[in-house]
Amino acid sequence: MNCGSFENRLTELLEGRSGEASRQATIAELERHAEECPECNGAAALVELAARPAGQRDALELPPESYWKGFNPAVARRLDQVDVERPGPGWRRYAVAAAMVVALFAGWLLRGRLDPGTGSGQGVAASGERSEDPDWSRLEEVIRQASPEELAEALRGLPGEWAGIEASGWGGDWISGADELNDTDRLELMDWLDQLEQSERRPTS
Amino acid sequence: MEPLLRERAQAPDESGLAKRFRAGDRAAFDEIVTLHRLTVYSVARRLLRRHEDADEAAQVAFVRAWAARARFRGDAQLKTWLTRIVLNVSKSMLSARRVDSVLPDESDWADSERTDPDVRIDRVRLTHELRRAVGGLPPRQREVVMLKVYEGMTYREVAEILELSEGAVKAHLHQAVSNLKRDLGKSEPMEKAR
Repeated sequence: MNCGSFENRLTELLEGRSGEASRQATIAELERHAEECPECNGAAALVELAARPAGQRDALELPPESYWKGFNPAVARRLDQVDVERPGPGWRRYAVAAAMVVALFAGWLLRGRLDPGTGSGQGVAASGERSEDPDWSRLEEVIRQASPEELAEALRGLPGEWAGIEASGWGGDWISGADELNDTDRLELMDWLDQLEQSERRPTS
Repeated sequence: MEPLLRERAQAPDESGLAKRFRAGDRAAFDEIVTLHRLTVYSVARRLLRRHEDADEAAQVAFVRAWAARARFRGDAQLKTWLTRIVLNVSKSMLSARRVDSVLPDESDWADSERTDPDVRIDRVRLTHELRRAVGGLPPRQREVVMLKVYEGMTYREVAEILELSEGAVKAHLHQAVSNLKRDLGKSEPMEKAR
């Protein structure tokens, strides 16, 4: 066995692709190679890991049964609290969240407004690319200043995977095209909304 | 079988449950919480390390799932959907608190075999060494190792959760093995933990 096939066989074992009979033989071969090969010696720990069944590879010491008995009621209490505290579907909040998605993924409409110094459109929106670290407060400010017509137009310009999202009068049903999205995309949108909510809660200096 | 392991082993037909959940049935949601709380908690715990953080992330994830119930249409399984939620919640917590997820947790990770103290010490050492190395992987590779190797999910499930193709997940795992091998090779060779 050479080092390349060592890695391949080790990966197969970690994937759980080997049958039980060949598994034992593979483990023995891998152990032998790890022992003899200075390049692969450190990977003995990985072989040991791979040799364990998936559920026992890094067993967590789980909280006691009493914790789990209290878990569902704790979630239920949070739900009750959220239902009481959460305001109704404020259109502005949803509109801003939607527009943030637009600004980050489409970007072209708000070009030039994100760089307060030069107005040259070198900001997040101007790039047309998703930034890893968007300037949320700046984006929010810009979007708040945009008219509903501009935001609606921006939504119509959504590219690729975001196509199909439309503003729906900026009301409670903030994305009428959401049925076109899969569950993962909808979650992504929820994440943007959460980001917005967090930025709104931050104290302003 | 212990109750918690039984929870994890169950794989009921969830379509009826999901339908009731989408309709706002709190009893159905409670069943979903019971079915998936262990997976949700475990994913959070692996990322956040501390029980208190994992507890918070798991609860927030379920609250978020409830809030988003109307948008769950069953494209994904409940388990993968919930895992994706808790992964995002955990990553947000890490990012917001600047928690260093790669630090080994000295206190509360354990091995189920406790009979021989020497074996246990070796295994705990092995586990910590691996955890340190896994913690040093790039984020995507770390997530793949966590979900595929530790949680034992299928490639399809991991791909759905991470929004990658199955091929990309496989490539990440292969790269992770190479990186782990290189990293572990730098540290002191270990005795076999048997």
